Amino acid sequence: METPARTARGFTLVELLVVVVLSSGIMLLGMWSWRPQQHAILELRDRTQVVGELRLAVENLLQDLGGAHKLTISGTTLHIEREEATATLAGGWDGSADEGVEYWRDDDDLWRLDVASGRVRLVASRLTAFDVGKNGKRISIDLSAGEGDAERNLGLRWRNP
Amino acid sequence: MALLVLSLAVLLLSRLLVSHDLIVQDMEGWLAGDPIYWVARRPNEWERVLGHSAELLTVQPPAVETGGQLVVLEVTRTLDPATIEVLVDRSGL
Repeated sequence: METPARTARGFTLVELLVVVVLSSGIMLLGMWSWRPQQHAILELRDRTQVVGELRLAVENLLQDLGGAHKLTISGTTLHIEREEATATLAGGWDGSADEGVEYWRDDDDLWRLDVASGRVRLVASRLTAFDVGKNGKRISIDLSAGEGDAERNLGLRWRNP
Repeated sequence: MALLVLSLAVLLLSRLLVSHDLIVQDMEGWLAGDPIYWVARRPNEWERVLGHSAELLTVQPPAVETGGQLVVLEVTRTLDPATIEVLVDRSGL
């Protein structure tokens, strides 16, 4: 008596189990190797944001300091008095003096006020310090952003005429 | 095959992260070591009037003698096309 020949189609249960176990191992290995990369990506994102915010603050200050005549400090607020021609073009010259531009920090945000027009705008965020000081004719502006390893500090110095 | 693909993916990701790190380091270059910069106005009065930014210097600039200032007598602006004409008095300089 002959038995019908067994056709070799599909996989056995053991083969499938081996594949599942191997696939799981590979996926775990992938996830394990991804974790430090993910941490690095988050750290880079923080650093990039901090640098970007500092850059925004500095570029805005430089823009106003380009035509500045004199800087004064009132508490924690920096007041920039512009040259007559610059102030006239900006609409800030009142006939005898420039009403100027002011910078101050509030809740980690740096704000700018154009006194003549009354326009206030947000300059940068995530700033942990905006310290202004005066030593004779020298004005110092110290900026900090970020925390921990991502913290960055920058100092600007200006000399009044 | 799967291991090969996974290894290649990890390798490419590592290269991407290294490149990203280099770009960030370049971007952070001006902030390296908590720097202190001196801010100097542009020596050219026209550049200042036209709104050019001040310059960042790593050394203290020499003191600028302040004489007279450029006086704007008249400003004419148009929106389209965007132009600005300025009549100035330079006699005070």
